Amino acid sequence: MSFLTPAFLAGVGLLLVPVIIHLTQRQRREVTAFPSLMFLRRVPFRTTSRRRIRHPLLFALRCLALILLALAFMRPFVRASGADAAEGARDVVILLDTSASLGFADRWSAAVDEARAVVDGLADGDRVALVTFSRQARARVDLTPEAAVVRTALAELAPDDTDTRIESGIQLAGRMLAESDQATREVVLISDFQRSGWDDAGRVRLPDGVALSTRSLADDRDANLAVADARFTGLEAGRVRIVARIANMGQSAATGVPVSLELAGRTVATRDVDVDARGAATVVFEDVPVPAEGARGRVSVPEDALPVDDVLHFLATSDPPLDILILEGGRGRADRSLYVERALAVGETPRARSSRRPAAQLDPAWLAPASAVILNDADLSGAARATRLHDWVEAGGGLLIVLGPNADPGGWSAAGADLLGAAPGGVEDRTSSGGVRLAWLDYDHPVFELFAAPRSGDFSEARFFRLQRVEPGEGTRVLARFEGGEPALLEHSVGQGRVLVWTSTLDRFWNDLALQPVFLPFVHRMIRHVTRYREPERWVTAGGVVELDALVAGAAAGGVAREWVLVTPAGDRRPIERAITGPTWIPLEEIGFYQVEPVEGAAEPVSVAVNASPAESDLAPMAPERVVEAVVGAGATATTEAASAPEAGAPDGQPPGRRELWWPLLLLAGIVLAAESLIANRWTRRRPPARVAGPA
Amino acid sequence: MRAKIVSRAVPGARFLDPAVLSRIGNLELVARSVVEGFIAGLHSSPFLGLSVDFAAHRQYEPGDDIRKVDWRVYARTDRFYIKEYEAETNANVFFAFDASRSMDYGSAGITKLDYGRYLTACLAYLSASQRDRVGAGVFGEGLVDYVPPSVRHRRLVLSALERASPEAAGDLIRPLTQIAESLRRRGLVVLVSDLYAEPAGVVKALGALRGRGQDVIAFQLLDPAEVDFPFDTPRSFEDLETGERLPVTPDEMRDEYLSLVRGHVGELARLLTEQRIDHELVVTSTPLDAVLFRYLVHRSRRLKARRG
Repeated sequence: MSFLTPAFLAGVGLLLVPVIIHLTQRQRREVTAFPSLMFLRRVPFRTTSRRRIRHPLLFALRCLALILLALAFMRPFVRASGADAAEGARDVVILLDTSASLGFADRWSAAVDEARAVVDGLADGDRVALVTFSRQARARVDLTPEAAVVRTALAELAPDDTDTRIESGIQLAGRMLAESDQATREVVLISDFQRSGWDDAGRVRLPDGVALSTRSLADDRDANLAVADARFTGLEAGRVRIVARIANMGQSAATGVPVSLELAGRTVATRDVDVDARGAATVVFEDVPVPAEGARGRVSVPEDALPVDDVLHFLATSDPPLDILILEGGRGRADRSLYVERALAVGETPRARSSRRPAAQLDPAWLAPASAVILNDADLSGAARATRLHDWVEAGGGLLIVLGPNADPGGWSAAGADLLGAAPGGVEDRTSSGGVRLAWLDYDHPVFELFAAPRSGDFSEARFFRLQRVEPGEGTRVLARFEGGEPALLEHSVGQGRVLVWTSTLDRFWNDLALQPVFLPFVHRMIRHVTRYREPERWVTAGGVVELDALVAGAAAGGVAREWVLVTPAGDRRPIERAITGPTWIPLEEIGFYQVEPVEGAAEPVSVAVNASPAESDLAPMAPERVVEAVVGAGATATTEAASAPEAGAPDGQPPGRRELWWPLLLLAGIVLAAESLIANRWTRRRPPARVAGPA
Repeated sequence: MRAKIVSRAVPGARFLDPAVLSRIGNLELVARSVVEGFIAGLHSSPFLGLSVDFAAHRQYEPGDDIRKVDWRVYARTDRFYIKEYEAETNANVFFAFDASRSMDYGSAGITKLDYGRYLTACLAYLSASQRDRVGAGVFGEGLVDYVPPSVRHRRLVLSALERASPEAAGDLIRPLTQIAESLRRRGLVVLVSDLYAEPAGVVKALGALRGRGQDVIAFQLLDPAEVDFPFDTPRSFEDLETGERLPVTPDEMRDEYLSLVRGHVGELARLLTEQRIDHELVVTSTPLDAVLFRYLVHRSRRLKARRG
């Protein structure tokens, strides 16, 4: 017989407790006056009452119950033999969660203990493998009969900083066991079963016949404060406004939490904040000076049971505004660009500076600093102008063409027609029918994906009375259509640049879209798209990757250096090996600041901030049964078990080849205790007192 | 020999609850209530006129009441003889009252001290009403109060009993020896005590009285808790006289304790009987008139024995 948790043997020491109490509590507090102790003194109670067991049977029963309980908690088991041995040896994959949430309090040590207990329970001939999973699953030890190898591997493991992806571990474990030819195959999943770590879309299943047993490390403790996010605005003048969001995942409110902001290694400000239970609060750091070259920063709260989310690392880099050049036709309404200009002026991310110029006098100097050009109801009949604009777009510029009454696309030059990407079909007047509405939008496109969710913007309220009919050319994609099927928004590429064509006006002349709530975000989205704008990535989530060339592209003389070195937050220097083909991805798994430095040359080093996934901060567990139900295949058994307190009544879930004896022991302990109660009640029932009396 | 307690119903007796009597407070009133009620209840009893029981004949002398001439003797002898009765002997009745601290214990609404006080008062009242000379000695470690016997000392006896307070550990030999030396006439000595002493010591102490020709009745007072030992949970017991504490598991040792008490009482009764000393075990829950009844039975038995 062996034991899974022999440490509970110490529970037998409880036997000494009643004896010690019995011997030490000799002097009772209750004092009764009595005429004389003459007779009491003669009763030999000192040697009998205290030092002798009054009811040996009761004492024996109580001791037996305690021993049985201790034995049950030691989880004894016997290895299968005889007929049971026919089942043969088994393959067991220990699937161990190493995500960041395992760093909470003492969960990691509990997880390792559970894994060791599984190893200790292996029978001769069994093979065991160790697979860890967080964002990625890794096979630490392949199936081996050497349990010591797994024990050694367990001793070297530690939780990482990435988030939980249970399905990745299940997938790898299933793959290992699919290749096993043993009749008995089992996966033991040890995890805290964070709700956020499981995507039960049904994509992952264990092979048929593979059993799954779970050991949940979750408990009632969930007190955890996290710096969940930080937003940055107003970096243009070298001063920034930082809004940090502090999340309280626990069931009790946190008051007076000091939140510190650190920039370039110096604490800039500290604010106290109260955070409701299961809520969040924002902390605003106003007017924070940021060096022009950017700086590393941290927002932190005091360290708690889960330290990985107590600090948010970020890079405070500049975010220059977009220069938008609006080219207007010589004729037409004076306010045709008013709504667009106003809309662009409102934006924060990105900020935009617009300038209006006559399209007829297009100067290359205007185009050079421009991030995007809006050709607003202007014709491109002049070949020179059209060519200049075409060349600029081809080189990577972004263009939004607005076809109003003065555009006259039918008269455009070849370069202009190429920019249009569609064959013009004349003006369509729908005034008599009360106008048309937008009937179809491509919500998968970046321009419209913002409006995909319900109540995220209603384009159908806008009425369009006139429009330019166009026939999309080859390579032109229609992103929106009117009720009659006419294209409303088209997209195509010219060289490295992008062109969007809007077949109506962006003012109130041909439609009332400018009066609708969706107008402003719609204009922003079109500008972001044509300019390929991306918010500066101030940090990445642990477990993510960055592409080397994209990362160093902004570095001064970045193109000069070819070889780069990655310096991890722990200070390790690792040469970056470029991929033979395609982009070179750099995995970032530790929280803190990575630095990419050139091996030689004058290129500036580039920093990357890495933070734990916000999902890891929420320790709310799910029922392990959800995983079991989703992944266990046909002909397999499943067992769910709390790590520290085994649940009774699941003998069927015992690993094959091993017969656990804890539940019969518990049952026996219960019977013994019941018998003890019965006997004790009978014996200790108050007897009628005798009297000092005799026959008369 | 097994000890007996007088808690059984006595036909014709009107039982008075000691706890109720204790509320009256006035000792004489208590004694009178008990005794007069007790005597009223004895009309049909064979004990009526006990105090005028025939004692002896003597020749008639001038001045004698002719109603007391025994005419049947005259018929046989042709001489005048006068019948003398016991009550006319003016016997000494002395009460030795134990006021040690062990007497200050009561679990049934009345302490042994109070019960003994009432019992002694009743006996004194009863004796005085029979024209006996009554006296009393209250003792603890030594004799603390002494009233010499006299037909007029009933009130003094009651006062001495009133004053008795539990202040010292008990001792029998010294005070009883003092009492024995102080009594010059033979008579009856009534000892009221819980007799917490070795039986041999008790006999030795009372032997001093017997040696001087005194008749002795020993009333041993015990509280119901002392004879039942109704305690169950473990606790410490504190000796009222010495203050000593002893951790006890009553449930476990009840049988042994009761056996020891029973043995002690039995040994006392045996040794005292050998010395012709009456021993009466009285539990303080027993009505006083029932004890008086037993007392009269004993006296009657003793007088007959003496005459026989």
